[in-house]
Parts: sequence; C-alpha cells; structure tokens
Amino acid sequence: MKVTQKKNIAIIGNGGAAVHAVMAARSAGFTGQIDLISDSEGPAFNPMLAPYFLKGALTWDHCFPFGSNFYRTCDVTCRFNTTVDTLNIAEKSLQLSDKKKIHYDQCLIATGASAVVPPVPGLRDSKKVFTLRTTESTLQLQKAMQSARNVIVLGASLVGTKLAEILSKRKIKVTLLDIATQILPMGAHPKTAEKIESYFRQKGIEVLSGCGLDGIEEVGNRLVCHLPHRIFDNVDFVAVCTGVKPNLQFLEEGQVATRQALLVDNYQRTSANSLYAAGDVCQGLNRQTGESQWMGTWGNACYQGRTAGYNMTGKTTSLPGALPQYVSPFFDWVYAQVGDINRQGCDIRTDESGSPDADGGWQLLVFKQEKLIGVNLINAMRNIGVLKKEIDPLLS
Amino acid sequence: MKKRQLMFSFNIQDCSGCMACVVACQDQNDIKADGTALRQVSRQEKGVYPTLIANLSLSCMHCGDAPCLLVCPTGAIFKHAESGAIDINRDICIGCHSCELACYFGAPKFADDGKMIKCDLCIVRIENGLKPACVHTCTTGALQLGYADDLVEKKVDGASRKFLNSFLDQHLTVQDR
Repeated sequence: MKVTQKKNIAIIGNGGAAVHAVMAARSAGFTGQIDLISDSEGPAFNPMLAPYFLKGALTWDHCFPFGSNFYRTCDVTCRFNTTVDTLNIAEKSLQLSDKKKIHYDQCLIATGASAVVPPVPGLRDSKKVFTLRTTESTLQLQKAMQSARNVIVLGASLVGTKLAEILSKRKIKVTLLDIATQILPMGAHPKTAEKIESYFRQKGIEVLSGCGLDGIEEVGNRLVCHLPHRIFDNVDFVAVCTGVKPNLQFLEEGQVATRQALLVDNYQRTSANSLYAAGDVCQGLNRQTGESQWMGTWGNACYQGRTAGYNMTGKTTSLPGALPQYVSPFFDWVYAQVGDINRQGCDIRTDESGSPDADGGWQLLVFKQEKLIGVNLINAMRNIGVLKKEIDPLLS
Repeated sequence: MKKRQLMFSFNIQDCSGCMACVVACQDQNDIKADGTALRQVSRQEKGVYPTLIANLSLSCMHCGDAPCLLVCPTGAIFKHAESGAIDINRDICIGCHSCELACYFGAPKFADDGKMIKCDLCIVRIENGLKPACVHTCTTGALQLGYADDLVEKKVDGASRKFLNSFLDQHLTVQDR
C-alpha cells in the first residue's frame, strides 16, 4: 500500500492515542504536515499513572511516558494551549481558539475523556472536591493529601479503589462510597466484589456500597457530607471517581454518529468523511460480544491511535476490536477481569475456586452454555494467558 | 537497513523435560531455587492413559509487535534495537500488571518488590558472543536461538501454533513442573 505524502493530518488531542497515531504515520513513511492541537502544554500525560504518582511509585516526569522531544523527533507542529472551536466536516477545516483556521486532509479526534462530577448539591461548587484525571487535578489532589486526615472517595471504580488504597496507606481515614450495590460495579462479579470489599475493610477502609451522597457543605475549613442515613463531618475533601465522559464539546449534535462516545469502525473511521477517532473519546468493537462498547484503557487507546495513524496515511490496517480486560493491584492483591462477567440468564453458570491468600489465588469463571465468557481473578494471574485464549474469539 | 529480530525456536519433539533450561535461567539471573522462574517447563498429557506426553519450555517470545510493550503505561518495556529483544527498565516499572494481562504466554513475572521481571534473551551474553543460558544448556538441542528471517518461517509458525494449541487445549490438566 502506497503511503500518501501530499496530505495534512490534524490530530486533536495529546494523549496515548494521539502520540501513537503520530508514530504510526511517521513509521509508515508519511512525510507530510502533522498538526497537533492540545488544550494543555507540553508532553502527553498518562492519566493512568496519576494514582501511581500519588502513591510515590514514580516521579512526576515519568507520568509523561513519551517525553518532550517526541514532537521534534516526529516533526509535529504543536498547537498547545489551543482548543478547537468548531469542526467543519464539509470544508475539512478546524476553527481554533487562537482565531486560526487549519485545513486538513485527514483528521483524528483523540481528545480523551474528562472526569464526571455528579450533580450532587454542593459537589460541583466546592474547592474541596477533587477528581483525578489531568495534570492539574493530580497536583491539586497531591497537595490536598499532604494534610488530610479524613477523606471520602465517591465512586468505587478502579480509580476510586486505587485512590482509597493510597490514602489509607498514608494513615488517612477513608470512606469509600458507591451508589451501586457493590464495589467495582463495572467489572467485578458480585462475589468478587464481596471479597474485595471485605479485604478493604480489613485494611481499615470503610466501604459503603449502595450509598450515594445527598449533598455537601463547607463548614469552616472542612466539609460536612450528608449521606441518606448518616452525616460525616470534619471531612478534609471528597475525591470524585465516578467515571468519565468523552470530550466532544467542539462537535455539534448529530455532526458525527455518537452513542456513549464517538462510534468508530475497525479502521477507526467515524461516520464522517476523513474523520477518525481513537482513545477514550470513541467506542469500538467488543470482539467478544460483537457490540460497540466503550473500553477506556491505556492499551486500547494506543492500539486505536496506531490503527488510525496508519489508515490516515493510506496504509490500510484493521483493528479486530478489543476484549474488555482490566487489571489493578490493591494492597497485596492483584485483581483482574477479562470478558463478560455480569451476563445474566438461565444458561449462565459460575464456578469459583481457591482463595485469594492461598497459593494459586482465587478465580471465578463465568460460562455460557459451557463456553467460558468471563473471568475474575484475585492473585491468580498465572492462568491469565490460557483463560484469555478460551474467551477471546480471535484465538479460541 | 531492516532491523533483525532474534528469537527462540523450540522443537517439542526433542525436549526431554530435563529442566536444565530452567535451572540455567535461574542461575544466570540470580533467581533463588524457590523464586519466580523466567522460563518454565510444562508437561502436557493427552488422554486418561496418555497417548501424547510432551514438554513445553516457554519464556518470553520476544514478539515482533509485543503487546506488553504497547500497553506499558510508563514506557518501561522496550525493544533492543540490535537484537529485537524485549526488555524492561525496572526503575520505572510501577507493578501495574498491564503487561501480564496483555501477554498470552505468561512471560511477565513479578518479583518480591512488586516489579516485573522477564527473560531479556540474555542480552548481555549475546552481546558478548554467547548463547542465552537456556539455549547453551539445553541437553537435547530442542531450544535454539536465531534470527527470525533465518528460521524457516512456515516451520516456525506451524510449530509454534502446534505447541501453543497443545498447551492451551490441555490447560486444565497441565501439571507444571
């Protein structure tokens, strides 16, 4: 496949997907102009590393895995501290916040996603409410952690549970809240969640599942948090980890086909001509279910970005979807999820074995008509390869 | 000039399951006898009264397009330019286990410090004109090292799939040794 050279590529965003798109385009031999538009300045930040930075597992510089030389090496025209006001698909142009207008032949939307703060009274207005997604929010949270003694983590997601662990290790009193009836509601089977909840309680974290936050108010230098049947006072801050939403502010409604996020095919093409999307801003094929699904992981974003990068230069490359899979260490446990865990039905059965603290760990297997469709593992990563092979339609 | 990719080749019919490769690897990498081995030998049996008994010696495959490398969030995993060996800078490994989840071969292992360790193809030995410890020690010659383009591609591909399928089909009865 001949790589087209007389093209301008515009990339909106500056994360893993954007960087891998650039690398793919250049490695395919593309020598044309690449414009990269980012609302922040400097090298690409990996939000997945924010909890590890707060934990002290790596330095701030290492949260930017591609470094600042990347853009020069790959001959990228950086338009930092700039946002896209409007996208004109027919004209193939971007109107930027600095009043400049750039034309493209191919455009990649890789704007990622932003943390969502639920519409709880007081939550969106308080300066003692933090998220964990961007460089700014990470540094703010780091500062707030220095003197905190009592913190509420709202949302028992992978980020929320990780943050609860980090705070707890700093001898901070942590209450982990989730409106869902279990911890890790998006990926853990209820039996797995029960084990992790119990483990967290052993570690001194108060876990309140099935419990939302009715409102917060600032009293002096502290927060008073109202729960349905309880009031927490003297709270230093609330960390909100209730999920993310794609950054699509510059698109008009209906301009590009969207469900939960931008819909893309296996070539990372959106519904609009010459417009691609990759990373947390889009949803692609779940190759296990055959459905379009948002699967926001660093690895998935990098694969999608790379695929888009090749395709934008004319090197046709297909990504065979992705398999839902997540892994996270909690204290001394390693938790993993692969495939479809919470499928319901009369033809579904589960099989659990072992114990998290025993040699070999604990595993919960979900079968549909005797076909393995999902696994939850605690300290049982040794079997992950063979289990994935059974689940993944690419290999089974 | 096209970069060349060094890789292991393995002939399952020649493997006696003597474990010398495992011991050599542990010795080379200063891993305790009861520590996490970077190469493992699994015994495969098929049938109640086995008609097929085979041994599979497996470590990192040093994939050309390594999924562990792509998913590593810090860039700790990298590929050596000359040999194509996949290696890790442990200073910036955060122990997130993403590599372990991405790998189908169980190659990434985790040491007591929580950070990943893996086969580095004995890159230091190779740079000094030696074979990897496991290859050097293999008593039957089942394990070999070569450049991917020097190996008979079809044979390697067919053989790899055969070994892997045999291994995976039998995973519920695998007796690790």
